[in-house]
Amino acid sequence: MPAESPARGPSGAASGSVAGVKALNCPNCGAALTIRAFQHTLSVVCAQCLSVLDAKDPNLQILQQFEGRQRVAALIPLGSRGKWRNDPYEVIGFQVRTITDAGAQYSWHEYLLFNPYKGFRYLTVYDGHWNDVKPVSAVPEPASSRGKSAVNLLGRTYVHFQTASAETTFVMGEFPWRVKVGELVACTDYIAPPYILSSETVETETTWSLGEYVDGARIWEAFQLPGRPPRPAGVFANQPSPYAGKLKQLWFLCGILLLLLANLALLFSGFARKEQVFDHQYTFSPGVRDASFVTPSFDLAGRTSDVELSIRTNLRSNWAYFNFALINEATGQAYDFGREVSNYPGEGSPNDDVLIPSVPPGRYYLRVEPEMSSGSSAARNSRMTYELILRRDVPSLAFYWICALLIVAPPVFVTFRAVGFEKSRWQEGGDIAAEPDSESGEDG
Amino acid sequence: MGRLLYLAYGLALLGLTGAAEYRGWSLLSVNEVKNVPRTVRDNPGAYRSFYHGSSRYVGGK
Repeated sequence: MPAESPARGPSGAASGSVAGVKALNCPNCGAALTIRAFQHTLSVVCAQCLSVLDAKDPNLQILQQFEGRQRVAALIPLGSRGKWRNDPYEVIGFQVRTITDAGAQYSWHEYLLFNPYKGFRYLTVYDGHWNDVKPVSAVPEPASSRGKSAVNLLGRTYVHFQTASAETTFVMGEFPWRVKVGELVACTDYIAPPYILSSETVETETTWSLGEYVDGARIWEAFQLPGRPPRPAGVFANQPSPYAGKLKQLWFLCGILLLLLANLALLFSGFARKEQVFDHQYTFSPGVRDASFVTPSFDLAGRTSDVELSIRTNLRSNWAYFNFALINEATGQAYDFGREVSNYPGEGSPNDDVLIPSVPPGRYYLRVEPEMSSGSSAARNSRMTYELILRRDVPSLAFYWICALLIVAPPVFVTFRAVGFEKSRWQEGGDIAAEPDSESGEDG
Repeated sequence: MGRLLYLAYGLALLGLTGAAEYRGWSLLSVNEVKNVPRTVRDNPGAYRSFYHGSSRYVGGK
Protein backbone atom coordinates (compact mmCIF):
# COMPACT_ATOMS: atom_id res chain seq x y z
CA MET A 1 0.00 0.00 0.00
CA PRO A 2 2.76 2.47 -0.70
CA ALA A 3 2.07 5.70 -2.48
CA GLU A 4 3.96 6.73 -5.57
CA SER A 5 6.51 4.25 -6.74
CA PRO A 6 9.85 5.65 -5.69
CA ALA A 7 12.82 5.84 -7.99
CA ARG A 8 14.77 2.66 -7.45
CA GLY A 9 18.06 1.32 -8.62
CA PRO A 10 21.52 0.30 -7.61
CA SER A 11 23.03 3.71 -7.49
CA GLY A 12 26.29 3.90 -5.61
CA ALA A 13 25.00 6.24 -2.98
CA ALA A 14 26.85 4.76 -0.09
CA SER A 15 29.83 2.67 0.63
CA GLY A 16 28.41 1.01 3.77
CA SER A 17 26.42 -2.18 3.86
CA VAL A 18 23.17 -0.27 4.13
CA ALA A 19 23.50 3.45 3.65
CA GLY A 20 25.64 6.34 4.63
CA VAL A 21 24.33 9.26 6.63
CA LYS A 22 24.28 12.95 5.79
CA ALA A 23 23.84 15.36 8.73
CA LEU A 24 21.76 18.56 8.37
CA ASN A 25 19.72 20.85 10.59
CA CYS A 26 16.00 21.60 10.47
CA PRO A 27 15.44 25.21 9.29
CA ASN A 28 12.34 25.40 11.49
CA CYS A 29 13.57 24.19 14.90
CA GLY A 30 17.28 23.66 14.37
CA ALA A 31 17.15 19.99 15.29
CA ALA A 32 19.68 17.68 13.70
CA LEU A 33 18.45 15.77 10.63
CA THR A 34 19.90 12.68 9.03
CA ILE A 35 19.46 11.70 5.39
CA ARG A 36 20.30 8.10 4.61
CA ALA A 37 19.12 7.62 1.05
CA PHE A 38 20.92 10.70 -0.33
CA GLN A 39 19.83 11.55 -3.87
CA HIS A 40 16.82 9.24 -3.64
CA THR A 41 15.34 11.31 -0.83
CA LEU A 42 12.91 13.99 -1.98
CA SER A 43 11.30 14.75 1.37
CA VAL A 44 12.59 14.58 4.91
CA VAL A 45 10.55 15.03 8.07
CA CYS A 46 12.10 16.65 11.13
CA ALA A 47 11.79 14.24 14.04
CA GLN A 48 11.54 17.18 16.44
CA CYS A 49 8.92 19.51 14.94
CA LEU A 50 7.50 17.13 12.29
CA SER A 51 8.02 19.75 9.55
CA VAL A 52 8.17 18.25 6.08
CA LEU A 53 11.25 19.56 4.29
CA ASP A 54 12.38 19.55 0.68
CA ALA A 55 15.50 17.37 0.70
CA LYS A 56 16.49 18.53 -2.77
CA ASP A 57 16.56 22.17 -1.74
CA PRO A 58 20.01 23.29 -0.45
CA ASN A 59 18.23 25.29 2.27
CA LEU A 60 15.80 22.48 3.11
CA GLN A 61 12.72 24.50 2.28
CA ILE A 62 9.80 23.81 4.59
CA LEU A 63 7.01 22.16 2.62
CA GLN A 64 4.61 21.53 5.48
CA GLN A 65 4.55 22.60 9.10
CA PHE A 66 2.56 21.32 12.09
CA GLU A 67 1.82 22.57 15.53
CA GLY A 68 0.81 20.33 18.38
CA ARG A 69 0.37 17.39 16.08
CA GLN A 70 -0.08 14.08 17.85
CA ARG A 71 2.85 11.77 17.33
CA VAL A 72 2.42 8.16 16.36
CA ALA A 73 4.92 5.73 17.84
CA ALA A 74 6.64 3.55 15.27
CA LEU A 75 6.98 -0.10 16.22
CA ILE A 76 10.23 -0.28 14.25
CA PRO A 77 12.33 2.79 15.15
CA LEU A 78 13.74 4.84 12.31
CA GLY A 79 17.35 3.90 11.67
CA SER A 80 16.78 0.26 12.62
CA ARG A 81 18.89 -2.03 10.51
CA GLY A 82 18.27 -5.65 9.79
CA LYS A 83 18.72 -8.43 7.29
CA TRP A 84 15.50 -8.84 5.42
CA ARG A 85 15.11 -11.34 2.57
CA ASN A 86 18.88 -11.96 2.76
CA ASP A 87 19.75 -8.29 2.21
CA PRO A 88 20.59 -5.57 4.72
CA TYR A 89 17.94 -2.86 4.96
CA GLU A 90 17.51 0.24 7.03
CA VAL A 91 14.21 1.75 8.12
CA ILE A 92 14.31 5.34 6.85
CA GLY A 93 10.66 6.41 6.75
CA PHE A 94 7.41 5.85 8.56
CA GLN A 95 3.92 6.96 7.59
CA VAL A 96 0.37 6.33 8.70
CA ARG A 97 -2.42 5.99 6.12
CA THR A 98 -6.07 6.19 7.12
CA ILE A 99 -9.34 5.13 5.55
CA THR A 100 -12.53 6.61 6.93
CA ASP A 101 -15.67 4.52 6.58
CA ALA A 102 -19.01 5.37 8.17
CA GLY A 103 -17.28 7.64 10.66
CA ALA A 104 -14.80 4.97 11.73
CA GLN A 105 -11.10 5.36 10.94
CA TYR A 106 -8.92 2.46 9.93
CA SER A 107 -5.21 3.21 9.95
CA TRP A 108 -2.25 1.18 8.88
CA HIS A 109 1.43 1.90 9.28
CA GLU A 110 4.04 1.78 6.54
CA TYR A 111 7.76 1.48 7.17
CA LEU A 112 10.03 2.48 4.32
CA LEU A 113 13.09 0.25 4.01
CA PHE A 114 16.14 1.22 1.98
CA ASN A 115 19.15 -0.61 0.62
CA PRO A 116 21.36 1.38 -1.79
CA TYR A 117 21.80 -1.68 -4.03
CA LYS A 118 18.31 -3.13 -3.80
CA GLY A 119 16.26 0.04 -3.57
CA PHE A 120 13.13 0.57 -1.49
CA ARG A 121 10.57 -1.75 -0.04
CA TYR A 122 7.90 -1.37 2.60
CA LEU A 123 6.72 -3.21 5.64
CA THR A 124 3.08 -2.45 6.32
CA VAL A 125 1.07 -3.41 9.37
CA TYR A 126 -2.62 -3.31 10.19
CA ASP A 127 -3.99 -4.81 13.41
CA GLY A 128 -0.88 -6.96 13.82
CA HIS A 129 -0.94 -8.22 10.21
CA TRP A 130 2.31 -7.53 8.37
CA ASN A 131 3.05 -7.32 4.66
CA ASP A 132 6.33 -7.09 2.82
CA VAL A 133 5.60 -4.77 -0.10
CA LYS A 134 7.63 -4.03 -3.21
CA PRO A 135 6.73 -1.68 -6.04
CA VAL A 136 6.07 -3.43 -9.35
CA SER A 137 6.84 -1.92 -12.71
CA ALA A 138 4.62 -4.26 -14.76
CA VAL A 139 1.00 -3.24 -15.27
CA PRO A 140 -1.52 -5.99 -14.44
CA GLU A 141 -4.14 -6.94 -17.00
CA PRO A 142 -7.85 -6.82 -16.20
CA ALA A 143 -9.41 -10.23 -15.64
CA SER A 144 -12.29 -11.84 -13.78
CA SER A 145 -12.44 -14.70 -11.33
CA ARG A 146 -15.71 -16.48 -10.47
CA GLY A 147 -17.71 -13.48 -11.52
CA LYS A 148 -15.56 -11.10 -9.49
CA SER A 149 -13.42 -8.32 -10.84
CA ALA A 150 -9.76 -9.30 -10.90
CA VAL A 151 -6.39 -8.53 -12.43
CA ASN A 152 -3.70 -10.79 -13.76
CA LEU A 153 0.00 -10.26 -13.10
CA LEU A 154 2.70 -12.66 -14.25
CA GLY A 155 0.30 -15.58 -14.49
CA ARG A 156 -1.35 -15.08 -11.10
CA THR A 157 -4.93 -13.85 -10.79
CA TYR A 158 -5.70 -11.40 -8.01
CA VAL A 159 -9.35 -10.94 -7.01
CA HIS A 160 -10.64 -7.47 -6.23
CA PHE A 161 -10.90 -6.98 -2.50
CA GLN A 162 -11.38 -3.34 -1.69
CA THR A 163 -11.41 0.12 -3.18
CA ALA A 164 -11.04 3.04 -0.84
CA SER A 165 -9.66 6.50 -0.51
CA ALA A 166 -6.68 6.63 1.83
CA GLU A 167 -5.25 9.70 3.45
CA THR A 168 -1.71 10.16 4.68
CA THR A 169 -2.17 11.15 8.33
CA PHE A 170 1.34 11.03 9.78
CA VAL A 171 4.87 11.05 8.37
CA MET A 172 8.31 10.65 9.87
CA GLY A 173 11.78 10.18 8.38
CA GLU A 174 12.66 10.50 4.71
CA PHE A 175 10.86 9.57 1.54
CA PRO A 176 11.73 9.19 -2.13
CA TRP A 177 8.65 11.19 -3.09
CA ARG A 178 7.09 14.51 -2.12
CA VAL A 179 5.35 13.32 0.99
CA LYS A 180 2.42 15.36 2.20
CA VAL A 181 0.16 14.89 5.20
CA GLY A 182 -3.46 15.04 4.12
CA GLU A 183 -2.77 13.70 0.65
CA LEU A 184 -5.54 11.47 -0.65
CA VAL A 185 -4.95 8.50 -2.90
CA ALA A 186 -7.45 6.10 -4.42
CA CYS A 187 -6.37 2.61 -3.36
CA THR A 188 -7.56 -0.63 -4.85
CA ASP A 189 -6.48 -3.95 -3.42
CA TYR A 190 -6.55 -7.29 -5.22
CA ILE A 191 -5.73 -10.47 -3.36
CA ALA A 192 -4.36 -13.92 -4.02
CA PRO A 193 -3.33 -14.96 -0.49
CA PRO A 194 -0.62 -14.65 0.67
CA TYR A 195 -0.18 -11.90 -1.93
CA ILE A 196 -1.87 -8.55 -2.24
CA LEU A 197 -1.58 -6.39 -5.32
CA SER A 198 -2.39 -2.75 -4.71
CA SER A 199 -2.87 0.17 -7.01
CA GLU A 200 -2.71 3.75 -5.85
CA THR A 201 -3.90 6.56 -8.03
CA VAL A 202 -3.12 10.22 -7.55
CA GLU A 203 -4.77 12.34 -10.21
CA THR A 204 -3.83 10.50 -13.41
CA GLU A 205 -0.82 8.56 -12.14
CA THR A 206 -1.29 4.98 -10.99
CA THR A 207 1.39 2.92 -9.30
CA TRP A 208 1.27 -0.77 -8.42
CA SER A 209 2.87 -2.65 -5.56
CA LEU A 210 2.93 -6.30 -4.59
CA GLY A 211 2.76 -7.36 -0.97
CA GLU A 212 3.29 -10.70 0.67
CA TYR A 213 1.84 -11.58 4.07
CA VAL A 214 4.60 -12.17 6.60
CA ASP A 215 4.71 -13.25 10.20
CA GLY A 216 5.50 -10.34 12.53
CA ALA A 217 7.93 -12.55 14.44
CA ARG A 218 10.15 -12.74 11.34
CA ILE A 219 10.37 -8.94 11.25
CA TRP A 220 11.14 -8.80 14.97
CA GLU A 221 13.89 -11.32 14.44
CA ALA A 222 15.28 -9.60 11.35
CA PHE A 223 15.48 -6.15 12.98
CA GLN A 224 16.29 -7.54 16.43
CA LEU A 225 13.41 -5.69 18.01
CA PRO A 226 12.73 -6.12 21.71
CA GLY A 227 9.70 -8.04 22.92
CA ARG A 228 7.16 -9.62 20.63
CA PRO A 229 5.13 -8.21 17.74
CA PRO A 230 1.50 -7.31 18.50
CA ARG A 231 -0.86 -10.25 18.11
CA PRO A 232 -2.83 -10.14 14.85
CA ALA A 233 -6.52 -9.36 15.30
CA GLY A 234 -9.18 -10.76 12.99
CA VAL A 235 -8.47 -11.95 9.47
CA PHE A 236 -6.52 -9.76 7.04
CA ALA A 237 -7.21 -9.43 3.32
CA ASN A 238 -4.30 -11.57 2.11
CA GLN A 239 -3.75 -13.62 5.25
CA PRO A 240 -3.22 -17.20 4.12
CA SER A 241 -5.97 -19.46 5.32
CA PRO A 242 -4.64 -22.03 7.80
CA TYR A 243 -7.04 -24.46 6.16
CA ALA A 244 -5.89 -23.89 2.57
CA GLY A 245 -4.70 -27.17 1.10
CA LYS A 246 -5.60 -29.11 4.24
CA LEU A 247 -9.26 -29.25 3.33
CA LYS A 248 -8.74 -31.17 0.08
CA GLN A 249 -6.41 -33.61 1.79
CA LEU A 250 -8.86 -34.15 4.63
CA TRP A 251 -11.77 -34.84 2.27
CA PHE A 252 -9.56 -37.15 0.22
CA LEU A 253 -8.65 -39.12 3.36
CA CYS A 254 -12.30 -39.04 4.40
CA GLY A 255 -13.25 -40.63 1.05
CA ILE A 256 -10.63 -43.36 1.54
CA LEU A 257 -11.82 -44.07 5.09
CA LEU A 258 -15.45 -44.26 3.95
CA LEU A 259 -14.41 -46.64 1.19
CA LEU A 260 -12.60 -48.81 3.76
CA LEU A 261 -15.71 -48.69 5.96
CA ALA A 262 -17.90 -49.82 3.06
CA ASN A 263 -15.48 -52.69 2.42
CA LEU A 264 -15.58 -53.59 6.10
CA ALA A 265 -19.39 -53.65 6.00
CA LEU A 266 -19.35 -55.85 2.90
CA LEU A 267 -16.77 -58.16 4.47
CA PHE A 268 -18.74 -58.66 7.69
CA SER A 269 -22.00 -58.93 5.81
CA GLY A 270 -20.49 -61.61 3.59
CA PHE A 271 -19.13 -63.61 6.50
CA ALA A 272 -22.09 -63.12 8.88
CA ARG A 273 -24.01 -66.35 9.62
CA LYS A 274 -27.47 -64.72 9.52
CA GLU A 275 -28.67 -68.13 10.68
CA GLN A 276 -32.34 -68.45 11.62
CA VAL A 277 -32.48 -70.45 14.87
CA PHE A 278 -36.09 -70.02 15.89
CA ASP A 279 -39.43 -69.07 14.30
CA HIS A 280 -42.84 -69.53 15.89
CA GLN A 281 -46.29 -67.93 15.84
CA TYR A 282 -48.30 -67.19 18.99
CA THR A 283 -51.56 -65.56 19.97
CA PHE A 284 -52.29 -63.38 22.96
CA SER A 285 -55.48 -62.10 24.62
CA PRO A 286 -55.21 -59.36 27.27
CA GLY A 287 -57.63 -61.11 29.55
CA VAL A 288 -55.19 -63.96 30.33
CA ARG A 289 -53.95 -63.86 33.95
CA ASP A 290 -50.42 -65.16 33.42
CA ALA A 291 -49.30 -64.81 29.83
CA SER A 292 -45.63 -65.67 30.39
CA PHE A 293 -44.21 -68.73 28.70
CA VAL A 294 -40.91 -70.10 27.47
CA THR A 295 -40.02 -71.19 23.96
CA PRO A 296 -38.45 -74.52 23.04
CA SER A 297 -34.65 -74.52 23.27
CA PHE A 298 -32.47 -73.64 20.32
CA ASP A 299 -28.73 -73.58 19.65
CA LEU A 300 -26.72 -70.42 19.09
CA ALA A 301 -23.57 -71.55 17.31
CA GLY A 302 -20.33 -69.83 16.34
CA ARG A 303 -18.41 -67.17 18.24
CA THR A 304 -19.85 -64.63 20.65
CA SER A 305 -21.99 -62.40 18.46
CA ASP A 306 -25.40 -60.77 18.33
CA VAL A 307 -28.84 -62.32 18.06
CA GLU A 308 -31.61 -60.58 16.17
CA LEU A 309 -35.13 -60.89 17.47
CA SER A 310 -37.89 -59.97 15.03
CA ILE A 311 -41.44 -59.45 16.27
CA ARG A 312 -44.20 -59.55 13.64
CA THR A 313 -47.69 -58.71 14.93
CA ASN A 314 -51.12 -58.03 13.47
CA LEU A 315 -51.65 -54.97 15.73
CA ARG A 316 -53.88 -52.20 14.40
CA SER A 317 -54.56 -49.04 16.39
CA ASN A 318 -53.23 -50.86 19.39
CA TRP A 319 -50.03 -51.54 21.29
CA ALA A 320 -48.33 -54.44 22.99
CA TYR A 321 -45.37 -54.69 25.31
CA PHE A 322 -43.11 -57.72 25.51
CA ASN A 323 -40.83 -58.66 28.36
CA PHE A 324 -38.12 -60.95 27.06
CA ALA A 325 -35.40 -62.97 28.71
CA LEU A 326 -32.97 -64.92 26.57
CA ILE A 327 -31.72 -67.59 28.99
CA ASN A 328 -28.74 -69.90 28.63
CA GLU A 329 -29.82 -73.38 29.66
CA ALA A 330 -26.41 -74.46 30.88
CA THR A 331 -25.14 -71.35 32.71
CA GLY A 332 -28.40 -69.75 33.74
CA GLN A 333 -27.26 -66.42 32.32
CA ALA A 334 -30.21 -64.31 31.14
CA TYR A 335 -30.42 -61.25 28.88
CA ASP A 336 -33.46 -59.25 30.00
CA PHE A 337 -34.97 -56.61 27.77
CA GLY A 338 -38.34 -55.14 26.86
CA ARG A 339 -39.86 -54.08 23.54
CA GLU A 340 -42.94 -52.08 22.78
CA VAL A 341 -44.79 -52.52 19.51
CA SER A 342 -47.45 -49.96 18.69
CA ASN A 343 -49.25 -49.40 15.46
CA TYR A 344 -51.60 -46.47 14.95
CA PRO A 345 -52.69 -44.71 11.74
CA GLY A 346 -49.72 -42.71 10.53
CA GLU A 347 -47.59 -43.72 13.48
CA GLY A 348 -45.63 -46.76 14.55
CA SER A 349 -45.37 -50.20 13.02
CA PRO A 350 -46.79 -53.65 13.78
CA ASN A 351 -43.28 -55.08 13.61
CA ASP A 352 -40.04 -54.63 15.51
CA ASP A 353 -36.46 -55.84 15.18
CA VAL A 354 -33.83 -55.74 17.88
CA LEU A 355 -30.27 -56.96 18.24
CA ILE A 356 -29.30 -58.64 21.52
CA PRO A 357 -25.60 -57.89 21.97
CA SER A 358 -22.67 -60.26 22.46
CA VAL A 359 -24.39 -63.55 23.20
CA PRO A 360 -21.93 -66.43 23.74
CA PRO A 361 -22.61 -69.70 21.93
CA GLY A 362 -24.78 -72.28 23.73
CA ARG A 363 -28.25 -73.68 24.09
CA TYR A 364 -30.88 -71.06 24.91
CA TYR A 365 -34.57 -70.54 25.33
CA LEU A 366 -36.62 -67.38 25.37
CA ARG A 367 -38.98 -66.37 28.14
CA VAL A 368 -41.78 -64.22 26.72
CA GLU A 369 -44.31 -62.16 28.63
CA PRO A 370 -46.63 -60.13 26.41
CA GLU A 371 -48.86 -57.33 27.73
CA MET A 372 -51.66 -55.32 26.17
CA SER A 373 -54.16 -52.78 27.39
CA SER A 374 -56.97 -54.49 29.29
CA GLY A 375 -58.78 -51.39 30.51
CA SER A 376 -61.97 -51.75 28.43
CA SER A 377 -64.06 -54.78 27.50
CA ALA A 378 -63.23 -54.16 23.85
CA ALA A 379 -59.54 -54.28 24.72
CA ARG A 380 -59.98 -57.41 26.81
CA ASN A 381 -61.69 -59.12 23.87
CA SER A 382 -59.01 -58.13 21.35
CA ARG A 383 -56.57 -60.78 20.22
CA MET A 384 -53.04 -60.41 18.94
CA THR A 385 -51.27 -62.86 16.67
CA TYR A 386 -47.53 -62.48 16.63
CA GLU A 387 -44.49 -64.25 15.31
CA LEU A 388 -41.06 -64.39 16.97
CA ILE A 389 -38.03 -64.99 14.75
CA LEU A 390 -34.49 -65.33 16.09
CA ARG A 391 -31.43 -65.09 13.88
CA ARG A 392 -27.81 -65.57 14.92
CA ASP A 393 -24.93 -63.22 13.87
CA VAL A 394 -26.73 -60.51 11.94
CA PRO A 395 -24.76 -57.47 10.71
CA SER A 396 -25.74 -54.22 12.44
CA LEU A 397 -25.88 -51.11 10.26
CA ALA A 398 -26.04 -48.75 13.24
CA PHE A 399 -22.32 -48.89 13.99
CA TYR A 400 -21.41 -48.29 10.35
CA TRP A 401 -23.61 -45.19 10.28
CA ILE A 402 -22.13 -43.93 13.54
CA CYS A 403 -18.61 -44.63 12.26
CA ALA A 404 -19.38 -42.87 8.95
CA LEU A 405 -20.68 -39.82 10.84
CA LEU A 406 -17.60 -39.73 13.05
CA ILE A 407 -15.34 -40.04 9.99
CA VAL A 408 -17.11 -37.19 8.20
CA ALA A 409 -17.31 -34.96 11.30
CA PRO A 410 -13.69 -33.60 11.29
CA PRO A 411 -13.66 -32.57 7.59
CA VAL A 412 -17.09 -30.98 8.01
CA PHE A 413 -15.83 -29.10 11.08
CA VAL A 414 -12.70 -27.93 9.25
CA THR A 415 -14.82 -26.92 6.23
CA PHE A 416 -17.01 -24.78 8.48
CA ARG A 417 -13.89 -23.21 10.01
CA ALA A 418 -12.44 -22.55 6.54
CA VAL A 419 -15.69 -21.00 5.33
CA GLY A 420 -15.82 -18.89 8.49
CA PHE A 421 -12.24 -17.75 7.89
CA GLU A 422 -13.03 -16.69 4.32
CA LYS A 423 -16.23 -15.00 5.49
CA SER A 424 -14.23 -12.98 8.02
CA ARG A 425 -11.75 -12.07 5.30
CA TRP A 426 -14.41 -10.82 2.91
CA GLN A 427 -16.36 -8.96 5.59
CA GLU A 428 -13.59 -6.38 5.43
CA GLY A 429 -13.72 -6.20 1.65
CA GLY A 430 -15.82 -3.94 -0.57
CA ASP A 431 -15.83 -0.42 -1.84
CA ILE A 432 -15.48 2.45 0.59
CA ALA A 433 -16.38 5.88 -0.63
CA ALA A 434 -13.96 8.67 0.13
CA GLU A 435 -14.90 10.73 3.15
CA PRO A 436 -13.29 13.96 4.18
CA ASP A 437 -11.36 13.65 7.41
CA SER A 438 -11.58 16.91 9.33
CA GLU A 439 -9.00 15.93 11.95
CA SER A 440 -6.11 14.88 9.81
CA GLY A 441 -5.90 17.71 7.33
CA GLU A 442 -2.76 19.76 6.99
CA ASP A 443 -2.45 22.65 9.33
CA GLY A 444 0.89 24.08 8.38
CA MET B 1 0.43 -33.57 11.35
CA GLY B 2 -3.31 -32.91 11.11
CA ARG B 3 -3.63 -35.41 8.27
CA LEU B 4 -1.79 -38.13 10.18
CA LEU B 5 -3.87 -37.45 13.26
CA TYR B 6 -7.06 -37.70 11.23
CA LEU B 7 -5.86 -40.87 9.53
CA ALA B 8 -5.05 -42.43 12.92
CA TYR B 9 -8.45 -41.33 14.22
CA GLY B 10 -10.22 -42.78 11.18
CA LEU B 11 -8.35 -46.08 11.36
CA ALA B 12 -9.12 -46.32 15.09
CA LEU B 13 -12.80 -45.80 14.29
CA LEU B 14 -12.67 -48.52 11.64
CA GLY B 15 -10.98 -50.84 14.11
CA LEU B 16 -13.61 -50.11 16.73
CA THR B 17 -16.42 -50.67 14.24
CA GLY B 18 -14.83 -53.94 13.16
CA ALA B 19 -14.53 -55.04 16.80
CA ALA B 20 -18.15 -54.03 17.48
CA GLU B 21 -19.32 -56.00 14.46
CA TYR B 22 -17.15 -59.02 15.26
CA ARG B 23 -18.22 -59.17 18.91
CA GLY B 24 -21.84 -58.43 18.03
CA TRP B 25 -22.21 -55.24 20.05
CA SER B 26 -25.58 -53.55 19.88
CA LEU B 27 -27.11 -50.26 20.94
CA LEU B 28 -29.82 -52.16 22.83
CA SER B 29 -29.61 -51.85 26.59
CA VAL B 30 -30.02 -55.30 28.11
CA ASN B 31 -29.82 -56.36 31.70
CA GLU B 32 -27.62 -59.38 32.19
CA VAL B 33 -28.78 -61.63 35.02
CA LYS B 34 -26.61 -64.47 36.24
CA ASN B 35 -27.72 -67.81 37.65
CA VAL B 36 -31.35 -67.74 36.63
CA PRO B 37 -32.91 -70.83 38.32
CA ARG B 38 -33.72 -73.78 36.10
CA THR B 39 -37.28 -73.69 37.44
CA VAL B 40 -38.04 -70.78 35.10
CA ARG B 41 -38.57 -73.31 32.33
CA ASP B 42 -41.29 -75.04 34.41
CA ASN B 43 -42.75 -71.90 35.94
CA PRO B 44 -42.13 -68.91 33.66
CA GLY B 45 -44.52 -66.68 35.63
CA ALA B 46 -42.28 -66.88 38.69
CA TYR B 47 -39.46 -65.03 36.92
CA ARG B 48 -39.38 -61.29 37.55
CA SER B 49 -37.98 -59.60 34.50
CA PHE B 50 -35.84 -56.53 35.05
CA TYR B 51 -37.77 -54.85 32.26
CA HIS B 52 -41.16 -55.86 33.60
CA GLY B 53 -43.89 -53.45 32.60
CA SER B 54 -43.92 -50.41 30.37
CA SER B 55 -44.87 -46.79 30.77
CA ARG B 56 -48.22 -47.68 29.23
CA TYR B 57 -48.83 -50.72 31.37
CA VAL B 58 -52.10 -50.30 33.17
CA GLY B 59 -52.69 -53.75 34.63
CA GLY B 60 -50.97 -55.66 37.39
CA LYS B 61 -50.02 -59.17 38.22
